[in-house]
Formats: sequence, structure tokens, C-alpha cells
Amino acid sequence: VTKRKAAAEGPAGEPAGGEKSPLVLIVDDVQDNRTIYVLFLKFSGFRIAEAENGEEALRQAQALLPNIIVMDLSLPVMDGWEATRRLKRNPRTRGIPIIVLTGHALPEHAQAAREAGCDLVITKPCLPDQLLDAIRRILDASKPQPKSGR
Amino acid sequence: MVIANERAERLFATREDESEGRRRAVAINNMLFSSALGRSSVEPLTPAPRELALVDPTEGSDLLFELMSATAGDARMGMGILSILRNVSDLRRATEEIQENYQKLRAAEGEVRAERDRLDLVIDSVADPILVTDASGNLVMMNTPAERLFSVSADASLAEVQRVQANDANFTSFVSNLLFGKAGESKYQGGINLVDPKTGHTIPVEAVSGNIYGEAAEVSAIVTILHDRTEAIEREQLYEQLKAASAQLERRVQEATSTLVHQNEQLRRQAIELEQVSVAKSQFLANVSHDVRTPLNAILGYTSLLLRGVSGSLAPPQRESLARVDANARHLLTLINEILDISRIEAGKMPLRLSSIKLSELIDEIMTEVEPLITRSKLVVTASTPPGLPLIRSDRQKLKQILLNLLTNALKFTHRGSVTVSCAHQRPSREIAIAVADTGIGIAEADQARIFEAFSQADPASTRETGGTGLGLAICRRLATVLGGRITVESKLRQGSTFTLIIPLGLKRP
Repeated sequence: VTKRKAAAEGPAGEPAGGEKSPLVLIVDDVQDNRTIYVLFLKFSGFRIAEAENGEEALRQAQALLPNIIVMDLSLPVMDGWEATRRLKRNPRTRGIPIIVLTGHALPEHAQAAREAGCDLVITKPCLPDQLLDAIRRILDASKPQPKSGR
Repeated sequence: MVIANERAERLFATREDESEGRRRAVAINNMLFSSALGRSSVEPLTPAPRELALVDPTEGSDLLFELMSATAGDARMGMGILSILRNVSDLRRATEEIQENYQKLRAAEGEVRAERDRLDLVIDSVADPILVTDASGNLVMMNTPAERLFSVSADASLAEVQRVQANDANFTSFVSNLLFGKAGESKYQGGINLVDPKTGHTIPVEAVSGNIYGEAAEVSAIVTILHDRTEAIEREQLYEQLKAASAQLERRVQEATSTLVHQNEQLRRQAIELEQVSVAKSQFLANVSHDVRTPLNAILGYTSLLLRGVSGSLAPPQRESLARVDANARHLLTLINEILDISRIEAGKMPLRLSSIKLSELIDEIMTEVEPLITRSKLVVTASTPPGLPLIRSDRQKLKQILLNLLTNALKFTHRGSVTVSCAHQRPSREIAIAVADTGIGIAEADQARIFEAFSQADPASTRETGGTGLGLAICRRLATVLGGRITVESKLRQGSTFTLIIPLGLKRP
């Protein structure tokens, strides 16, 4: 099902009208994961920023104010739960939606992430277009303007 | 009366001036005397004295005389009787006293004899043998029970005689302890073994000897009482046996108790260890699950990128191979998820989320999800719920997982014919039975119990053919248990299978 859908949409370029495409901050300590999502999201027309740990994620979020953050949970220096908690406590970054993307499959892990304040939990493995769907759904919901990027 | 001396006159003569009483007493005396003499006129006179009671005329008291009469002849005076009276009143009194004393003595003697008879009777009536020995150790008395041990009858056999002799020797030796033992000891107690002369059986006896002292504090006799201890010994033995048995029992109880305590302790330790192992296992599996997901995410991700043409277009054979990589990676993912499910159920970490479920809606939802499989299978697939089926209170997600699994299996293992889903409300037990029946390959009876075990399919080769993991039914059964229910199977090889999930209508929180 996913394959057909993805194939139907095809690669997406910069949105028309010169409007800046949404900025996605990808936070993951595994290079491969970042590469996959970065490649696919860029391919799908998003701007991307990357961070390898929670602390870096906080810095990047403060500096860049991304449209959405994709957060892994098991991270060095500061883990994803703590980073999520801090981002949601900070008035500057509170409004940024956070998708938690984790390899932890137990319900208690997802529950802890929800309690930290994230907007969605997706258990890995998460296919690139599955993530794309989630990002689009959340961005559409948080941007009620009739004229969106699509 | 011809001549009387003065003393006789006092008895037999009166004067005019004397009192009436005295005159009457004298008259009585004369009468008595005449009568005595008269008797002697009948009987020939003998020189032997006769008694004659007279009255003292002065005192009025009784007097006793000895009368001796003799006939005297005188040619001048003719025949006469000479009588001499000897006052024996005092003598008589003395004699009577002696008599009285004698009688008293006799009476006393009789009493003593009676007393001794009574004593003998008492002694004889004592069941224990009693023997009395004199100061030199000779037997002087024994009661009837003692006679049975220490005396022989005339017709006794040689053996009896020897046994009595043995008893005698034993007894003498015992008594000599007191006779020749420590001075001042007045009692001696001990056990001796005697034999029954008649039977030869040993009679264990407790003997108690005591000295009887004479007036000069010398030992005059020794009394020995023998008490048969056979019964006492038997009782003692019985008591000892009882005590031993009781002790043994107690020991056994203690042993059993200590074993139990030990076993309990072991069980407790094992339970703790098991709990630790279980926690460690869950943790391990959670970690493995996470760590396996990371590379799997990369494999699926990169494959997806390639298939999506993010890195350029692919030639059809490349695309085909990549599709195989993708399918296998997905299979691996299913396996990992199911292993995680099983370990979570087994670790009791599958929390229940109860809600009210309309079964017809749930089944519609499941049918929609397997629609692609149904379309591909070309089977006649029907699902029906009877009208008026009550709402079920259970865990919707787990119930769905079970039914989805059963239905998917039915579709996988049925190549022609039909798959039918049906429900029934079992009112008496307040349960709902949901049956998934197929006309598929079926399961041999021997394999029917095994299919619910983890990593077990009736035919291992079918894992490859059907793309299953072999964990589906194991998870279903565990989930059914979590839901308070069970899964049963009825199947015939090459004819089909019916899997039935039975769950309570209203599941309560554990």
C-alpha cells in the first residue's frame, strides 16, 4: 500500500510561490537514521536541520525555530525525554510540534514520552514515507491557513 | 446342840435381850447347820470337809465355813456328832478372785488369738507374698501367696522343688543384705528375680524388707513384702515403646517440618531468582528489541529510499531483488514484535485496557483489514453475528489481535472452499464463543496440542511457504488467557479446522 502511494506522489521540489518550505529538525544519534530521513524529506521538499543529542537539539531549536522536530529517545548527553520536556517548558519553543521516533517498543516508554509533552510517538522501524505522512498531518493540523505548502 | 464353844454360840445361840434380826439369823444358821448334818445322816459321814454357808448374826454378812463332822460314841452319853466349823470366808473370796482373774486372762488370750487370726487373715488376703524371718534368717511365717513361691506340696515335681529352692536362696541372699548389711539400716529395698515353681516363668519382684525390733531394741524379726513387677515392667516397657514411638514420630515431624521449611526457603529463593531472571529477561528482550530495530530501521529505510527512486531509477531485476530484501526485513520485524509480545505476556507486562466492545463492529473492522488477503484467496469468506448479541467488556486491541491472527491463519492454510466466522452467546456460562472455521489443510490430531507452543507449526516447512513466524497461535493462546478465556481447536487432516475463542462476557480487572 505504502509503495503505491509513494510512487504516485513522486519526488517533490521546492514549493511554488517562493514560500520557504517547512524546516524539520531531525534529532538522532545514529547517522544512518538521519541520512535516510534527511534524504527522503529533502527529496520530499523539506528543509532539514540535524542534531546528534538532546543538548544540540535544544540549541538548534532555539536558534532555528523549526516547524517540527523529529526526536529519538535514546540519545547521548541529554536523552530525548529530557529534551522534549525542556522544549515544551520553554515559551520560545513550546509551540513546535514534536514527533518522538523510538526503537523502544514497550508501552511504558511511549507513555513516558507522551508525559514529557510530545505530540506523537512512532515506534521504529519507521519507513520514510510513514514519517512523511505523520509530519504532513501534524503540520496541516497546526497551520489552519487555507493556503498551505501543498 | 449339846455343847458349843463360844464362837459356835455366837453363831447358833441367842439371849433374851438380843435383837430380832440376830435371833432370826441364828435361827437360819441352826436350820442350815441341822440341814447339813441331816444330809450327812443320809450319806455316810466322811472326814472330807463340806462347805456350809451361814450368816454372821452380828454383821448380817454371809460367811462360809468348812464343816467337818465325826460321829463320836460314849457308853455313858450314847452317840453324838462332833462338828468343827472353820471359817473359810476369806479363802473363798480369794479363790473367787483368782478364778475371776483366770477367766479374764482366758478372755484376753482369746482376744489376742482373735486378733492374730484377724491379722493372719489380713496377711493372707494381701495379694503380695509376705514373709517373716527371725533374727538368724529362718523363715517363721509366710502368707498364702508366699507359700506358692516358697513351699512345696507333697506331690511336687523335682523341677518345682528346685525352683522353690532357687527362690529360697534368692530370698535368703536378699534378706542377708539387711541382716548383715549396714548397722542402723532398718529397711532394705531391691529387685530380685524369682521363678514361678509351677511354670518356671521368671517373676521379677520388688522386695521391701523391714526390721521389727524387740523390747531391748534388738532385731526380733524381719518382714519382707514381695511385689510382682511383671505388669509394672510390661507397662514400663509399653511406656518406653510408646515414648520411643512418640519420639520417633516427633523426630519425623521435625524432620518433615525442617524439610518443609528448607523447601519453602528454597522455593522462596527460587521465586526471587525467577523474578530476577524474569525481570532481567524482560529487560534483555526490551534492549534486544531496541537494538535490533535500529539496524532494521536502516535496512527498511534505505530499501524504501531505493525503491522510491530517491537515489535514481532501478532496473526491474534490481527492483525485484530489493522487493525481496524489503519483504524479508518486514518478516524479521514481525518476528521481533511477536517475540517481544510473548515475553511481555509471560512477564505479566501486558496491561489490560478494558472497554465495551460491539462484536459485530469489531468483526467488520477485521474483515476490512484482511480484505486484500480475501480478494487474493478466491475463497468464500463469510462472517456473521447473531442479532441481539450483548456488548462485551474486554480488551479491544488484544481481542482484535487474536481474531485477526485466527482469520489470517485460516486464509493462509485454506486453498479452496470457505472460511466462516461465527459467534455464539453461551448464556449459562456468560461467555462468547467466536469460531473461525475453514476447509483448509487441517491439523493431525497428534499435532493439535503442539501448535499452540511457541515456534511450532504442524509442518515446519510451511513457515517458509506461508510466511508465518510460528508464534501466532502461541501469542493467541496467551492473549486469550490474559482475557480470561481460552482457544480450542477441532480439526481433521485435509478437511479443515475450526478454532474457537471463548471469552467471558464481562472481564473484570484482576
